Amino acid sequence: MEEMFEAKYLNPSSIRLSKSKNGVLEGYVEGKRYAHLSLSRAFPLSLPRQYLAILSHEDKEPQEVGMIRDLDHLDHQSKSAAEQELQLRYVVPTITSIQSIKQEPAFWRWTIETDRGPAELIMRNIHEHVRVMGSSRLILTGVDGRRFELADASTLDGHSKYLLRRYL
Amino acid sequence: MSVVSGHRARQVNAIGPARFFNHELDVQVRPELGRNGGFALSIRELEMDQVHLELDHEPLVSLRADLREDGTFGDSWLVISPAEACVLSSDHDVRIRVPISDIREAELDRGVGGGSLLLKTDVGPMVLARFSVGLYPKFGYAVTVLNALTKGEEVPLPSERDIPQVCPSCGRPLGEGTSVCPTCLDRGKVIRRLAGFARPYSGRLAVGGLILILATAFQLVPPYVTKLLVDNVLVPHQSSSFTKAVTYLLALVLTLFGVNLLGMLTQSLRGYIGVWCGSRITGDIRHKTYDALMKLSLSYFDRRQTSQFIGRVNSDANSMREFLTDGVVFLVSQILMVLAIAGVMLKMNWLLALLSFATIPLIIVASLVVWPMVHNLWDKQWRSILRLNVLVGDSLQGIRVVKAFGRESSEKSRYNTANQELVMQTTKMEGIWQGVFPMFAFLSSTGGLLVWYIGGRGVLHGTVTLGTLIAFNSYLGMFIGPLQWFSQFMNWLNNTLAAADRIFEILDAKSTVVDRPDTPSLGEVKGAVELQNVTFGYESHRPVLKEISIDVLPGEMIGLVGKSGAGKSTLINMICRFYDPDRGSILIDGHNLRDIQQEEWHKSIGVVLQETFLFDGTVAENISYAYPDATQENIMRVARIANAHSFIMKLPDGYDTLVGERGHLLSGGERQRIAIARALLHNPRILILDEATASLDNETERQIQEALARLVKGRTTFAIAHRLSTLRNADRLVVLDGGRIAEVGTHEELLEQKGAYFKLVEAQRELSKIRGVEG
Repeated sequence: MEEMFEAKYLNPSSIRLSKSKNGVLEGYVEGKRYAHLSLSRAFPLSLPRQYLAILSHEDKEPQEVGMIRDLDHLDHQSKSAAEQELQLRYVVPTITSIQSIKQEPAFWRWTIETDRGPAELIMRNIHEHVRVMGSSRLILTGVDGRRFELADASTLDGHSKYLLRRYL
Repeated sequence: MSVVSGHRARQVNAIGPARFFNHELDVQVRPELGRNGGFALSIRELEMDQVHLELDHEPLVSLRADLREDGTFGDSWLVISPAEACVLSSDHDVRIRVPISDIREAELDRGVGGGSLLLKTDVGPMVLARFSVGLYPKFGYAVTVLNALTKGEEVPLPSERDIPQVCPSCGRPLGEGTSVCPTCLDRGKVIRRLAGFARPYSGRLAVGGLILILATAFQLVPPYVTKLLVDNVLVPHQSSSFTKAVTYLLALVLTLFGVNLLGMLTQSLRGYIGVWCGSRITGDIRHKTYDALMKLSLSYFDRRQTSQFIGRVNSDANSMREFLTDGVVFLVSQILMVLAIAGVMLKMNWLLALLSFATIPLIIVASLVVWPMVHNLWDKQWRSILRLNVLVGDSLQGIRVVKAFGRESSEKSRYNTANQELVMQTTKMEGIWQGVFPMFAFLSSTGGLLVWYIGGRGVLHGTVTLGTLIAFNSYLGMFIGPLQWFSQFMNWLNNTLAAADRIFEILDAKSTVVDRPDTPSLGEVKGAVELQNVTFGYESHRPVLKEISIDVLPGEMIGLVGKSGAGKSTLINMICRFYDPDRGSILIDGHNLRDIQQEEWHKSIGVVLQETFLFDGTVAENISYAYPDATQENIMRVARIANAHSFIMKLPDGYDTLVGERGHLLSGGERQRIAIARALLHNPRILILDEATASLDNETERQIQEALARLVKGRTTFAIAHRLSTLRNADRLVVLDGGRIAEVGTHEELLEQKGAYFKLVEAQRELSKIRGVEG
């Protein structure tokens, strides 16, 4: 019974990941070729680069092939393919600066600059859409479900910090 | 096409940065003869005239995707025609063309915050487009279209849920279940809407207004009488005799007495009328809010923490009450007062009056600067209070868990952190206020000093009488007083409008499960239940049930089996009509469930849920909850059937025993049996049992099994049970797996098939072996 619950941690050297020309993650795990793989974070907020499950999509339901303890243990090419895959599977842009926070009747409109480009974020209110993690980390969710992360409020520019202090 | 000009304008927009509003919705009603003829709703976002794309057919769907291959924001276009799927870059260059015949299956691959449209082709998987989560519904529709094309089926029209709801006038997104755009709903409207609640009391309010005017007038009289007193009596005149002056003095003093007395009476009367109307209006608002809450579908409450919700509704209603009882009276009387005083002052001495008005702009500017600051602080403080409330609600509701794991100290420190935060916010907030008042006092007294100096010089020159100067100063005090409060009043007004807005948000929330008007009465329910291709997800793009079809005969007992998360409880929620299916339909005796009045439907079903909730009240009241007119004999009869009678009779207060909040004075099995009796009382044709025997000891379970067996007889029953053995009596078992029906058959048939059910039974046998060893 016991071994059923033991995770299968993969030997990093047995993993070769790459991106297919059709935009899908593929590769070899322990000598077996997979045409369609994906990655899933166990702790997407607290440990984004550790404990990643490799899932194969050969069957109808995705099957866990095994777990990677740390992304940095992978070889260079696999690591960059994995990072790309994560970037696309976890679309949580990081806010680099805040242009404005405006309160419209019953709406908060944030105009922000992120690592993925400029964006506008609409919230119905602050208390349901802003999740405070730790001391200065924020997860913002728009009414459409898009998520944005503010990794460290203290590293923002003065104007952004002023806006945050003023409203949060 | 039909809306070319408007469309081009939007298209220019769409190529810019990934914005929220533009292009979220671009649904055209095209005069197009589709297969079903007439007008068709379609999603077409790309103007094909501008694209160099040779297609053999008209495109069915064209959509904007908003993520590039590297995950950054950037547009591309997906165009689906009956023969192929194409992807265009933001400059409309063709990047991918896939013939429909090459596609085996299309799939929406959902990540966090974004996903992709994945094609399974003969040469392997392929990503067609990447997009953020807001576009899921539209791309979900694109997947449906692609799959229909590959299978050669008719292309379905997009349903309302495939298209994000936006405000028709400003294009801003509407919240799920909200029908009113909060941006287009301006402050004026909120006030007008609040005023609408006052309409039933307009007669009383008119009387109140009249008394208010009188009260204001009476307040104005004393300083003027004082002026007469000083100028005509106290300053000696040669012409009048001493006795005449004393008579005059006495008359003036008596006038003052009368005016003060009348002033007192009118003021308390006006206050009483204000409180009378205000509390009734708030009562109406609370009543309407509660009605609206009861009318809302379960999906509205799923997304909200209940304790936070109750607190919010209560405190918002309370702040509205305060405003309506005190605020409105205050506002109107002060406005009247300011206007009247300004008039009297101008008439008495216009130069002095203008001088004393000099500080008004300063006060207004100061309040304009202070007010937004205060508002933000107020909002922060409100959020801190909310966090604290949620925390207390959470830990007190889970107090057993807290105690059981010995986490009191960590709960205390969690509370302490939130408490400190609130202390800080309150300090900031109140700190600002403490600074604000002295500032306003200083500004207004500066105006007073000017009057003393200029007016005093006038008295010395003989151009202004002493009485006028004294009256002037009294008026000035009365005039500046309300102005100081005005800035605070603006704040108050704003808080109230925000609270009103939040209340209106609830009033405006649309129930997602709606009764159609003029639905015919169902009449006698026979109990035939048919599910046709029912697909449903709590979030529209994440189906929990997938194309469930099953035909249940009247009186049949169906056991629902499957791993947790397979969709058993969701299926039951659908039959209870807590939610409507996204696709497909449920037929009751051949009538679509959507066409049946919910109240009527809920009267014909009996439900015993996993979590047996008893209301604070007596045992008898809880049994007769759905049928308050039930006779005592009837209550006892169903309690006997539910095997509850004997334990109830052992209670000292019998059926009059108070069960305590959430029934905590009774054991789990006892609560369960009361719940069964409750479901039985109105003799439902259809019975729903959700894990009715979970977590009970063997003897209790046997008693409940017995009760259930009696209950089920002759009724269409849907039962979920944790222990598969309890479903042995079921006519058919439906095995769910991943939201689909895996197997249907009797216990014996399914065991013979050695499929999913067999595995479940085996797994449970293993488990009971272990239990046997442990026991």
